This record gives sequence, C-alpha cells and structure tokens, in this order.
Amino acid sequence: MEFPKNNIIDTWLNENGSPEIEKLVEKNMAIANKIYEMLEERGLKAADLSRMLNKKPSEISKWLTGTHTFTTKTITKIETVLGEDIIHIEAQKEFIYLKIYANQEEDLEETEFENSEVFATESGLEKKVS
Amino acid sequence: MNTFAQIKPIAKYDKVSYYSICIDNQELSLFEEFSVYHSTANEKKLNHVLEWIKIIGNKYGALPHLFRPEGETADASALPPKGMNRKPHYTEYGNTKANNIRLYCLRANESVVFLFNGDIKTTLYAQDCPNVKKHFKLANQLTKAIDKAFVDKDIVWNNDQTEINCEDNFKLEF
Repeated sequence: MEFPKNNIIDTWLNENGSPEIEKLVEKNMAIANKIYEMLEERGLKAADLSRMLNKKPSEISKWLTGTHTFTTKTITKIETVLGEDIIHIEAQKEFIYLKIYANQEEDLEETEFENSEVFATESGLEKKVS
Repeated sequence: MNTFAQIKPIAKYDKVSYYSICIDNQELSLFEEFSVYHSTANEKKLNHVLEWIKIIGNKYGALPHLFRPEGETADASALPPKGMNRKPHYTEYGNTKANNIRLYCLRANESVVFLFNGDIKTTLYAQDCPNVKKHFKLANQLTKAIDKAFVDKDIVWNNDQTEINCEDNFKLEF
C-alpha cells in the first residue's frame, strides 16, 4: 500500500498549526516520557511514584500521558524523589572541533580554520578533539 | 445489511504508519472527514490532536500509555490520552481547559495505527453522548473487523511490522 506523497497531517499543521501549541505538546510529551523512562529504569510503576509523592495514582497517570502541563514545582518534586533532574538548564556552550595529526609521515596540507566568533570564557569552553 | 470499507494509507512517519478507512467507496476517509469538519468547528482542539499524532509518529511510536482505551466490543482506542479519572487538558489563550475532543483509533502495534472519526464528547460515557456515540460504536465495529482481517491474513504485516498490506480490492465487512 502506497502512502500519499502529501502528508495531510503535516500539511494541516504547516498551514494552520500554532507554533505555541506545537512547542507545548512537544515539551509536555518530552517531560512525560522522561518521567516514564526514569520510572522504568528504577523498576517503578506510576503507583509507586504516587506513594512517594503522596498523590493520587490518577494524577500520576495524567502526568505520564503527555497531556499535562507541568509546573516547575511539580517537576522539582519528581526530580527530588527520583534523584535525577528531568530538565537541565545550563549555559549554552560552544564546541571547538580540532583535528590533530600525530606522527604522520606524509605531508599534510596546511590546516585552514574558518573564522568564527566564540562568545565564551576559556573555562566555559569544552574542547572536543577527534 | 453489511457495510463494506477500504483501508487508506494516510501518513508515514519514522516510527508510525497511519491508516484510515473509507466507508462504502467514499473518497474521503474517516480521519479526513474528522480533520475537515474540526478544522472549522474546533481548530485549536484539532491542532492539539494532530500535534500528538505527529510527535507520536516522529518521536515516540504508538506506545500504549499515549492512547486512551475505548473498548466496548473490541480493543479500540482514542486520542488524546487520559489518566484514569480525569479529563485531558489543553491550553487555549494561556488557560488550561479540558480537551474533550475524541479521535477514535486502533493501535495495531507500536508502528501501525488506524485513525477513525470522532467529535466533542459531552457526557461521561461515550455511549451516552449524542456527538461521539456513533463514532465510538463504529470504531469498535471497525476494530473488530480489522482484527478479524489480521487473523484471516487478509491484512498482512511487512517484514519488520512497521506497515501493513492487503489486496487492492480487499474490503472490510462489518
């Protein structure tokens, strides 16, 4: 069975969809999925989390569906009882990729670096070497 | 009198292939009817449902906890998902509101979902709601017919069970 070239769902969303709703649904589902994974990793069920947080199991089920809009207070409570952060808020980092050739006999062309602007302090830079 | 229906591929994402059903040789599938009608009647609610479909399709796959069970006579489901005793919510103009739109569907596996039709649910039970009752009943009838077609091998899986196939002239009967 051939799928149509025109994806009517994407087309509708491109023409009529709200960017705000897109971000909201995406973030709510990402948070819910992260909590779901954290529970699975620990061998816990929604009912266990409800006991840990002293909440009704129905409320935890709601959180796990991806339709709930979380407050930072709720997220922090979950992070605290599960001992892991759900959301990571960190300063943006610039990565510099360097290619280093060691003990190579053949001549190499001179390495050219593109001009780039990096707005970061030296201590804030993470260098990855390949 | 029996009704006949054909399967129509709707959209293919990385993790989910979505199909719908055309009843009695109609050109528009049930899902297309749903989209067209709610585009004007309930645009923001439809927006949420379509975003769920897209994100489930692209990122998560059709995991069971992302669908609400709506089985009566068969294993039908619906979007949006639900908790046990609550209404699903969405945000409109910054306020949280209950999203009472229902799109009935069949989650065949994590990679294949049939999207049917739906409407705004106004009562606790779908069977009591004048809007969704017919869609709910039809979803259960179609789910039963599709399940039977899988058993009879009228509908077959591809190798990795990410798509389905059937004869061009195959019709579901229910």
